[in-house]
Amino acid sequence: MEPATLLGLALPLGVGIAALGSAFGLGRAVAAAMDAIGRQPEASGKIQTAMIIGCALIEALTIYALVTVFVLMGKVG
Amino acid sequence: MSSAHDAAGPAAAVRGAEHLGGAVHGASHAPGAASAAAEHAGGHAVPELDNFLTILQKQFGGVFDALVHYQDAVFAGIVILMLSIVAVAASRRLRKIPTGFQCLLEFYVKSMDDFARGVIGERYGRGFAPYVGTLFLYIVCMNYMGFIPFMKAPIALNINVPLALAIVTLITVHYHGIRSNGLINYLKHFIGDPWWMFPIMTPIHVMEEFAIKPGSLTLRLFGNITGEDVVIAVLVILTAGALPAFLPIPVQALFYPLALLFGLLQAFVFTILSAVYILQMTPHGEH
Repeated sequence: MEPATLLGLALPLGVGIAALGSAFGLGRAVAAAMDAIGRQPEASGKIQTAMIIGCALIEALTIYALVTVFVLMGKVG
Repeated sequence: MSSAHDAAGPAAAVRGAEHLGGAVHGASHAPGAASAAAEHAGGHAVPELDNFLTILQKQFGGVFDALVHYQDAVFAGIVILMLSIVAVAASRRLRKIPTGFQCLLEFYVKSMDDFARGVIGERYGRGFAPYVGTLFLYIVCMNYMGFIPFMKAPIALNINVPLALAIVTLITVHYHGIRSNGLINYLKHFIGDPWWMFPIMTPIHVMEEFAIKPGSLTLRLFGNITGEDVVIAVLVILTAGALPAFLPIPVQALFYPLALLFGLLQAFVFTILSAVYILQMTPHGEH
């Protein structure tokens, strides 16, 4: 196979796999945050802030894969 | 400047590639058609909508080549100009009992003050409210520039803009760290808790503070906004090219609500992470 073909196959697949991992992580994080808010509704502000920070850090991993795609997309041709 | 930009064709064609940090491709297989093919691929590697500067460049060329080359600075400048005009106009005639527009801006300032004091703490929070509030408003406005026809989000497809914002945050964080802790305590921060672990911990801390934190801030903002704008551009091309002429459905409109939400969310994430990095540099036990 040509390198361009390989890249064309691998780049979307890579983002998909990264998104899968991020989705599991985000699901766990948000579920735990919702659980905590349900237990302590008066602390919802602090929990939400912490949840958004955590979600941003988790989601960044998918974005790294996406940035790789943007950098290498020119080579697909 | 003039001699460098006289060769206007290649400079304009490589634009798309240069935005991504110089992913210019080498010669292709046929050496004769190499330059034309490489230019073509460089300009269209990532789909991008025309803005008014590229349209003017296609019409007139000349002085617009330089403007297109620095188009993100132009669009960021438009945002800065707009925000400055709004701020000056709103604070020209301040009233004790605010009306109308002053109410809106006072609400924004109050909520940003509350946010900064809530995250950073009572002692140092108020001093960082202007920085945090400006950062949020500036990033939101830059993200939303992509939705205005013939405009472009400066962050999209240009990693230098979020990198500059991250470097400003880096300098702010470390200036605050040195000023509030003193130089000795600031340097102790890099040694870590059991001091004899410093051969391992110091490189890790230095790398985290100076490479990973700014890098992740940059790439997160860049990737999200670029992804949005590329998806919108792809959908516009789909609308223009794939749909039959009697069915002109603007497919990209379906994506706009999500993109609006993401633009706001990413600005908020950048702001809140900046505030948290500032918090991590404040002296412990005082926040």
